[in-house]
Amino acid sequence: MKTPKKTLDKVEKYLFFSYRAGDDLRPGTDWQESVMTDIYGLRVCEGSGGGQALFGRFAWRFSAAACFIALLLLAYVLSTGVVDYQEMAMRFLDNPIDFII
Amino acid sequence: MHRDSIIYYMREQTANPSDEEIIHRVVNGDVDVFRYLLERHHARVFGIVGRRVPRRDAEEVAHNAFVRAYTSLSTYERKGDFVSWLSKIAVRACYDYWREKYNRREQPMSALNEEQLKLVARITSDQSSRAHGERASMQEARDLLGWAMDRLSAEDRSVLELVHIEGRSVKEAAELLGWSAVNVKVRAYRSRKKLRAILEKAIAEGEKRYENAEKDTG
Repeated sequence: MKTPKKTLDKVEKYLFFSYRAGDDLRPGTDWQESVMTDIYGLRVCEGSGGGQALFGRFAWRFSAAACFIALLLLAYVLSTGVVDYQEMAMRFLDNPIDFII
Repeated sequence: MHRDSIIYYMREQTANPSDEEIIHRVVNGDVDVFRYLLERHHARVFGIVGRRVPRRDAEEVAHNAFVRAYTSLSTYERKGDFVSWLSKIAVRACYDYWREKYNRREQPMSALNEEQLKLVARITSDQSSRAHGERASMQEARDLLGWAMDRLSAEDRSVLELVHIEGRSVKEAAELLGWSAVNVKVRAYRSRKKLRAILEKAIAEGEKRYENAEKDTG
């Protein structure tokens, strides 16, 4: 059985009204102290912001470029095909840094 | 006389520093003055958090919002006012609360119970205008709305509260949530549709169950 639209409208309107009519909540007496205790435990805001915060702020700006480079590298690796033991053998045979066995 | 007035002005300024001054001092290591921000703005944060999360968890969410504000103070840009910035943090703290809750949720009952059905009947009948003034039915209505919203995702819930229940504009909601206006608009429409579908289904199932129970007893 389908609920009539009018009924649903009325229920919805009343529920939204009840939400808005809710009493404001007041914090307990110790709440402020517990926040300050946590804040004293943190030392993020010291100085002019700290290198970590600054890094976090700017690192994201390079994320798109980093993803693009990672994709290019992946495409390169997939197209050339890298096999670990072949690479190692080539290095030993070519002896590029005068490596004496 | 002139000197006295300057001293008085300086005392006033020290006793009642602006938010900007407090932030500057906190960022430079004077953590104690963060207490001023707490005193000034806790009512605003509780006003946001108190309606959005259950009362038992509201203090914890407000606590997290202030700690988050403190850790982000160095990134606070003095373009807008501090209250708007803090409100965004509070709204997002509530959003995170519901996202975590939604991921760990247990499946709630699908139909309304007898009391909730009676409330719906009261709302839809002529008694609704009288029920508007009743404190108990208000609480029941809030519980019913909470029950229905528990079945929505954190995204749908947040948008529904901001746009449809609190009546904020799409632009304002988008700023508070950090989403695009188009995203908010689409979600606002869908979330309301979902809520109505949940209520409709629950009312229908509840009525059916209620009728069956009456038949059994009759």
